[in-house]
Amino acid sequence: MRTEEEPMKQALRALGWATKIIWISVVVFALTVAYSAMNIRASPGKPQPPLFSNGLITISLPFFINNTGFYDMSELNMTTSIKDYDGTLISTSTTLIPLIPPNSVVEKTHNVSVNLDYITQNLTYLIFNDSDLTIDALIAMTFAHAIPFQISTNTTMRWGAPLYNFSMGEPFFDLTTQEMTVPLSFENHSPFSINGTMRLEIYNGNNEWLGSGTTQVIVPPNSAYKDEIEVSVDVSKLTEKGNALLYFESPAFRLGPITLEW
Amino acid sequence: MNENDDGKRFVKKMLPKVLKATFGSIIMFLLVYLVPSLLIPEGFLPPEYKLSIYVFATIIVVFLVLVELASGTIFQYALSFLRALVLIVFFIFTLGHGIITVKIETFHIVVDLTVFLAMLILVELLGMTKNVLGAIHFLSEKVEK
Repeated sequence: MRTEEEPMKQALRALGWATKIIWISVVVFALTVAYSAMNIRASPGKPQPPLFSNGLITISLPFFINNTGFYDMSELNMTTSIKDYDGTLISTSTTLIPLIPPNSVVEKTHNVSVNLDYITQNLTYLIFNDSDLTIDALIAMTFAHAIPFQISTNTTMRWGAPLYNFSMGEPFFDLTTQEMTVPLSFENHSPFSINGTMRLEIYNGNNEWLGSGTTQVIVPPNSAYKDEIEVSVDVSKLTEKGNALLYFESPAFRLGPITLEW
Repeated sequence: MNENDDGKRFVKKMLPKVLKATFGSIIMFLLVYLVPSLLIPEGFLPPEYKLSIYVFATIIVVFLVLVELASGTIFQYALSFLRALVLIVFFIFTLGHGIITVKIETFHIVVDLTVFLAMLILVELLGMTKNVLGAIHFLSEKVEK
């Protein structure tokens, strides 16, 4: 009888010990994870001034993470998305850090790039109108290879249009010199200087080319531009009304053709 | 006289259990409620999770007293089984089925505790198995006697 009872008692004892051991492991794991999470130090560095190259504005955001906990931080993914007022995606930037072992410091830079050529081609209204952009920031990682964690936030950023309130004034003709003078004005609300060439192609009411003119434009941030473009035109084809095609070229972005009526 | 003897015997039988339950519940309350409350910094846990610690401590203490008072009977195993079941339900609901979502000002935090929840459920399932086997063993011993 005793021999039949013994295995049952042993099994019960073994189960009891296994339960206790797993309970202790779970509690120790939970406590050490919580302690490690509280000991992670992360801080953003000083943002670098925007860089302009090949139609891209790049803002560099340096940051450091000091993992003083007991566990690895893996697959750290930092993503920044910029959207316009109706949710159209303007840019997405991602920084990946595969692994941050315990007791190590990682210094990295998260580059947020905005393609100005994309804006001029697809979101032209942002060139001429100020707007509020939404910035979604997401940091995701796996803690201790077992606990995925993510933190996200969003904020709005004021977008200053580089050619805000662009307007073409009433052109006037000098029949003696056969020149058409077109007044142009806008305000540069962007944080960067507008430095490029503006070209205006004039067409008559029958869509026949009359002539074109260019002017050099240098407008510092938060400054207004008001000037005139002189265009030599073929007076014989002149009609009462017509169209003008505007082109703008600068190292930062290219724009055009924008159709304007005169 | 006979009734008096029965009463004395009952008190003699129950007194150690009551004392054990009292001391056990005080120690457990200190371990599962007071120590975490002191260790976790103010503001680290949202208020609803602080309440969860209190509920967890209550479940542990109440069942500890009940199991202790029912020790030596089949109810000891039944109550232990019930405690494991209650804790499984508690963990599932407290840990939001494994996904905890917290909103602090403009920050939205999501923690996937599925692995942790699975570990907790596993321990409790192990406890349930142990109690079922314990109950079978207890009943077989009773039948033999």
